[in-house]
Amino acid sequence: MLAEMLAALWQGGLIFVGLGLLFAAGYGLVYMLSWGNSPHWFEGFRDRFKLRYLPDNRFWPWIHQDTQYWVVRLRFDKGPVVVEGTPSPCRYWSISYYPAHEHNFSIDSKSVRLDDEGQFRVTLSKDLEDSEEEQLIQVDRDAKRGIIELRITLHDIEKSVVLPSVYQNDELLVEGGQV
Amino acid sequence: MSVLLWVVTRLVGAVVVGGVFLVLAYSVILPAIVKTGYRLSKEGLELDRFKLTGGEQASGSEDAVYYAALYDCRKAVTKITGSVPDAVYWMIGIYDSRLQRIPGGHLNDATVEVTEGGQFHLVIQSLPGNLSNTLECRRHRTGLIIYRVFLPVDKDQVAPPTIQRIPIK
Repeated sequence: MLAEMLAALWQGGLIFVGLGLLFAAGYGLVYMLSWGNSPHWFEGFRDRFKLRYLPDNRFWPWIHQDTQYWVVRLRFDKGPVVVEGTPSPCRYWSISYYPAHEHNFSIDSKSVRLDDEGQFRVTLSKDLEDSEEEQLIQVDRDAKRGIIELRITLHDIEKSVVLPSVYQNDELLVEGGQV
Repeated sequence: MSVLLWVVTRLVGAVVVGGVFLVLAYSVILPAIVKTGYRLSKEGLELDRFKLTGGEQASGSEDAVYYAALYDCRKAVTKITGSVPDAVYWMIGIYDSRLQRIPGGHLNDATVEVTEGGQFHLVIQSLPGNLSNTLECRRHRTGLIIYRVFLPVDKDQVAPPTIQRIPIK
């Protein structure tokens, strides 16, 4: 009886390992193929267990409960990315690029410059020197993939969150708007 | 019938072994990785004082100042005192050993009570919440504290809060 139980355990363990490897390989494949495929905004922490955001899922440490972390996963090897929109009504917001190595430079609610219509335009590019844009975030030269993170802290609860649009090579990748 | 029995017993075995592995991974392996990471990092966090961190491990932002420390509320109440920074926003919160936020473990400049002298006094304790200026650690007795200041007028002027550990008798 004991021998049969032990056999069931170790053989079951092997099945678990096999299924785990199969799941990991499948998830890895879906994850890799999902880059640049229909990019979209998702709220990093709160959307992380929704099935349709499965490929976007990752470990989310240090989440602050008064902050929203809106994320777009993109390919940066296809050209500069432009984020354009209206600031959300909140105490603080910022746009950052990850993974940055030296430091995580942000354009935020204090440093941002708005045009006459109250809109901002932030460009994320590998080649800042040749750019004529004003508000720039350096992307690592060897970066193929990365995320843009829009942090919104202490949002005005009486107003909707407004997400910016994302463009690449003058093509609309992600449409912004109210959430 | 014997084949079915073989399959069922092996699947049960897989569930048991998998369950044990996942529990171990969540409660032992992941906290150990986080702890080792901090021990090996330049920060080397401590229980009795805050240390300036770059925020890199937290995917931090350059426009913020981050201070971090450890807490352990199994045998002591942790009392934190600091001066309100001149900044757009600041917060202080506790996180478990997997760097996940803890319900009842977050205060910011809108929810903390400040004295007339511009000081804040907080406690990390395991007593029931709903007390003002309390970070409740009942569900996670050990972990990390982070003090985060966004858009300070002068980053160099953001002083770390002090920590006093009061033993529970």
